[in-house]
Amino acid sequence: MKIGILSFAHVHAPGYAHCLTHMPDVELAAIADDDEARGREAVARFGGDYYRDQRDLLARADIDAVIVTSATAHHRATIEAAAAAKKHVLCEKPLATTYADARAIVDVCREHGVKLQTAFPMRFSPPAIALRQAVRDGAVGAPLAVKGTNPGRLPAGWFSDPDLAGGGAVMDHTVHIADLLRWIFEREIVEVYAEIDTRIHPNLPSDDVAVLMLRLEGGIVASLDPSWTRPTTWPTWGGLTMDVIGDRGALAMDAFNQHLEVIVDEEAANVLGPRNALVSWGSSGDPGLIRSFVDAIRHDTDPAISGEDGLRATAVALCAYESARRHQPVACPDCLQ
Amino acid sequence: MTRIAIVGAGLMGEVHALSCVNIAGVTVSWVADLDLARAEALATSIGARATNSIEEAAAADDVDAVVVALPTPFHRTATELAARHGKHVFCEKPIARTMDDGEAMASACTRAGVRLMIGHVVRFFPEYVRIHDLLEAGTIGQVGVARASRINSHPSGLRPWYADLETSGGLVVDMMIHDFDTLRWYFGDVERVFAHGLSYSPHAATMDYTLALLRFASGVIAHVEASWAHASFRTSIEIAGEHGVIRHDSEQTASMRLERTGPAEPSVPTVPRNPLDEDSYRAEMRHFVDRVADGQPFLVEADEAIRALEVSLAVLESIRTGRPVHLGSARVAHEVAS
Repeated sequence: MKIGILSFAHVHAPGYAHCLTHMPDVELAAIADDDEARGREAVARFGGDYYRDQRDLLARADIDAVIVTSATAHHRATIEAAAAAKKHVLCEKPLATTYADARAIVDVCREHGVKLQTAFPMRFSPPAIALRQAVRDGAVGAPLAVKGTNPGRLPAGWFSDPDLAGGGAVMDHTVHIADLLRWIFEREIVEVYAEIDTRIHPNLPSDDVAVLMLRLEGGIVASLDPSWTRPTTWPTWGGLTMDVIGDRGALAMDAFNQHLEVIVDEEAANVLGPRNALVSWGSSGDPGLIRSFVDAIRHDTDPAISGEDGLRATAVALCAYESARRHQPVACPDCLQ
Repeated sequence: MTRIAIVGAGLMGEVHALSCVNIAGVTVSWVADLDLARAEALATSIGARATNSIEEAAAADDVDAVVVALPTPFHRTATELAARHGKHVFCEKPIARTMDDGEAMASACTRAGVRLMIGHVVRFFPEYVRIHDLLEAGTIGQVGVARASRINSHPSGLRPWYADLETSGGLVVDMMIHDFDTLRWYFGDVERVFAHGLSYSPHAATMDYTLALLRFASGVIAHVEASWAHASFRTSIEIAGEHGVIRHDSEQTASMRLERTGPAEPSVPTVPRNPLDEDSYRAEMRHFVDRVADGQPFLVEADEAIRALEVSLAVLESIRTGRPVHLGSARVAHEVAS
C-alpha cells in the first residue's frame, strides 16, 4: 500500500512518517509540502517523492491514501481534493477550525466513498486502553466524574495563529481528552462551560490558558485543562492525565508518566540541552493509530476512529469558545448550528 | 500569660489544646464539651478543668480567649457567648454554615471589642506560605492557571454532622474552603464560579466529589478539586505563570512513610503532619495569641473567612443549578437549599 503525506506543517508529521517507514507492506510514497525546504528535508529523512503542489501527489494513481498534517484551516480544501482523487484520509486533529468545515470534511469523504479517520493516537496509548478496560470492568463502580488535564509547552509557529489553527490551546489540547471521554464512556458530551484567556504568553494572538467543564449524557461530569502552561525549560513536552471517580473508587491515569529522570551537570547540559529531562520509556500510540488506518483500508472496514468522532471532539473545543464568549454553559454541538 | 478555654473536645479541640500547652506563655484552663466524659479525658491530659457547660468556660475569670472547635452550626452561638463575656475568639473554619451567621459573629465580636480569628490553617502550612512568598516576589510573573486539589476519604467514620450537607455544608463548605481561602489569599477576589459535583446527588450519603472553576477579578483562572471519594488524605497545587510553574504535591514531599504489616487496623481521622520545627497548627495558635497581645491584624480576619465561605456557597449554588454564579455585586444566596 502506498501512502502520501500532505504537508509537514504539523509537528506530528515526522512521527507518522517514522511509523510508515517501519511498517511492512506499506510505503511512504510521496510527501507534498508548499514549504519546499521543509518538504525536501522530509523526503531526505523519510524517503518518497517530493511535490510542491499537493495536486501532483493526488494525481498519482498508485497512491491509496494520504495523511493530512497541514495547518488545521487547510484541512478542508486538502481533504476535498484528496476525496475527489479517491484517496483515503487520515486527518490530524482537530478536524477543522469551524464546525461547518468539519462537517464538510466528513460529508465529502462519505460522498466520494473514501475512508476518513481522525488522528487520535491516545486511543492506542496503553495506559488509556488500560483505563478504559478498568472502567468498563467496573473498577470504580459506576463512573460519576472525571478530571482531565492535557497541559503542554507553547507550540511554535501557526498553532497560536487563530487564522490557521482556529484558536490556541483550547483548539490544540481539548480534543484528545474529549475523544477519550466519548470513547471510554460511550456517551456524548452535551454541555460545555469554559473560562479562556491569554495570560502566560501575553502577546500571543491566541488563547493559552483555559479550563473546560463538561457534562456527558447520562450525568457524568468532567473538567479538562488544555492550557499551554509548561515553560520551554519543562523537562518534557507536557502530559495527559485522567482521573475517574466512581461510586466504588477512584482511578488515576497518567499517560506519560512512564519516564526516567535524567539530570545532568552544567557541562553536559551545554551539549545535551536540558539539565533536567524526563525520558520516556512508555509506548507511543502512533504505530497503533497508523496500523489501524492501514488495516481499515486493507480489509475495507470502518476506521477505528471515524470522521464523526473527529467532528464531535472538534465541536467540544468550538463550544468552549462559545461558552467563554457568553459566560454561560452551552449545548454541544447545538450551539454551533 | 494567655489563658485559653477549649470549647469542643473533638478532633480539632484536641489538636488546638495540645498546640496551646506547647506554646510558652499559654495555658489551657478549661475544656468544655457537652459530652462531659470527652471534656474530662482531654482536660485531664493537659491539666485543665472540664465542664459540660460552654457558658461556664466562656464566662470563667481565668479565661482570656476561647477556642471554638464545635460543629459548624454552633460556631455562632459559642462565638457570641464568648464575645458577650469579653473573651477573644479563635474559631475553626468554616466560620459558619451561612453568610448571616458569619456576619453576625464578626459584628458580635466588633461590638464587644474582642478579636475574632478563623482557623484557615493552610495559611500556616509552610509549603503554601512559600508559594505565597514566591508569587508575591513575582517569581513566575503573571499567573495564568492555578490548580488546587484536596483529597480525602469520606468522613462517615466521624460524627454524623460532619458529612451532612445541611449541617456542615459537606465537602464544599468544610474542606474545599481551604483552597478557596488559599487561592483568595494568592489571587484576591473571586468574580464568578462554575462547578460540577455530587453534593446534591444520591451518592452524597457515602461519597462526595467536586470540580470547581473559579474566575478571579484579577483574571486568574483556577481549577479546584475536592474529594471525599478516595482512600487517604493528600493535597496538591500547581500554579502556572508567564515565567514558569510552581508545584506542590503532598504525595511527593512526605518526609516519612510508614507501612505496617500484619492485619489492617481501622483508620482513625487525623490532621496532616510533616515533621517541622513548628507544626502548622501550633504556628496558627501562636499567631492568634501573639496578634491578640500586640493588637496587629490576624492573617485571617473574619471578613476573609466570610469571603471564602461565599465562594463555597456559590460553588454549591452552581452545582445545584448548573449555572455560573457571580459573586460580589449579585450576592450569593445566604441559604443554599439542598
